[in-house]
Amino acid sequence: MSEGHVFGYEELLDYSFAPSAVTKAVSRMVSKKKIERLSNGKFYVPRKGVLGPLKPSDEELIRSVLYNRQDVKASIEAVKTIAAREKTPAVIPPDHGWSPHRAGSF
Amino acid sequence: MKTDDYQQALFDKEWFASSPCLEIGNDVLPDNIAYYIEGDEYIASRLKIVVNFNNKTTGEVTLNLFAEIAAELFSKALGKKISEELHTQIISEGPFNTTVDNKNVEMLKEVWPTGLGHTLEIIININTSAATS
Repeated sequence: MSEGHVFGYEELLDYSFAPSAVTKAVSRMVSKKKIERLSNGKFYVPRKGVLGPLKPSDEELIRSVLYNRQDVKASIEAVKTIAAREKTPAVIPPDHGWSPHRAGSF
Repeated sequence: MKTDDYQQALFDKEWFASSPCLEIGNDVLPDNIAYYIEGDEYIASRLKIVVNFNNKTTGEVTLNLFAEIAAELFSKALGKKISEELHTQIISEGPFNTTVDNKNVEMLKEVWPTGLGHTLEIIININTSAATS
């Protein structure tokens, strides 16, 4: 994957064989700052600049948006939904489990 | 330990989040501990902490830290202090499977075929028969 390239899970070869494992691996790479999350399901390898890592070029961003505009719209809606849910986490009965938002900070 | 965003695995109904790896020591391949939550969109039904032992020199420190994190998770997830018996079993790396307040608490040990290390997992999950009753 070249620097500055915006990609989704579907571009990763192993994704069709082991989607869950690839998703987790990508999430870990984001945590380790090896790649950056652009939006839900879209990532990029930061370019190295003189003053630090750079975001993808405008051309690359436009390409990724034009390539899949529906994904971007869906991502924005998903982020709004999750943000609303995290603002007022549901009360989960103890026998059913835990609020994911709260459990993430255990 | 704090996880990243809770998100759905694509082409899978499962939702999950994982914490960044907490690394112990300065070796090339250090021991590490991570925390995972899994479930559906609205409810996390499985909490898991995993430790990978890669170095004998840091093993004792890593195990004590893992036991400390396990006790913290136990306290927050189950609302009570971990029992002395379970704590001892964690420290002795003994696999166990028990039930606490309708939740299964399990510890698994996997020794790697390479003989160069091993993994311990503590999993707290919902007793599904209790959840559906």
